[in-house]
Amino acid sequence: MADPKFRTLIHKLLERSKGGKVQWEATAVEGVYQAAFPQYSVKIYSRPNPNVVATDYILEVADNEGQVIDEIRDTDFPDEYENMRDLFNCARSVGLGLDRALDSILAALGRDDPPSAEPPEPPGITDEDVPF
Amino acid sequence: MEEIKRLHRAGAWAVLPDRYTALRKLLGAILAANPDAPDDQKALLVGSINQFRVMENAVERALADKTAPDVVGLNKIVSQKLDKLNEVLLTFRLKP
Repeated sequence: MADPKFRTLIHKLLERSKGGKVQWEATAVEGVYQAAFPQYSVKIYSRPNPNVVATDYILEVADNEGQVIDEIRDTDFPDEYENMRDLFNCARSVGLGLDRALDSILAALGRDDPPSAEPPEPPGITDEDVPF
Repeated sequence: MEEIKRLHRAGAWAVLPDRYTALRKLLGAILAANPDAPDDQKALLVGSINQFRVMENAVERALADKTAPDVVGLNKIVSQKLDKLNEVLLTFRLKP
C-alpha cells in the first residue's frame, strides 16, 4: 500500500506548481518531467492504460543519485486521479515552457494600443471647391 | 559535458553510458563536498544527476531497441545544464 504521505506530496506539489514555485523541466525522455529539490527529485509521466480507455499517471521519487526510491500511480489513490492529471499537465506546461510562452503572448496581446484619434471630419464641399 | 555532446553528435552510443555514470559520480562528489551550499544550488546538482540518469536509461533502451536517440534533444538538455552548472561551480571555486 502506498504511503499516505504521497497524498500530501501530490497536494503540495500541485499547489506549488500552480503558483509557479516548482521548477519542472523536460527530460531526455519525451513526456517525462522532473523537479529537483536539495536532496531528492520527483518525476511525473503518463502512459496509456491497456486495460481501460484511460491514462495512468505515475509519480516517482528519486534520491540524490537519481535512483528511484518509490513511485505511486493514480490507481494507488483513485480519488487523486484528477489531481495527478492536473499535476502532470502543470509539469508539462512548465517543463516545455508553454506557460512562459502563453504568458508572454497574452501580455503582448493584452497591451492596449493608445486610443486612436477620431479621424478628422472631411471638409464640407462648398461652391468654392468646385473647379468649374 | 562538452565531450558528451560531441559523443552524442558522433553517435558513439556504446561508450556514452559509462560517461554518464562518471559524470553523475562527479556531480555527486561535488554535492557531497558542499553540504552548506544554498538549496537552489543543491537542487541544480540533484536535478542534473537525475537528468543524466534518465539520459543513461534512454540511451541504454535505444541501444537495446536498436533505435537512434534524439541527438538534438539530448544536447539541448546537456547545454542547459552546462550553463547553469558552470555558474554554480564558479561560486564553489570562489569560496574562501
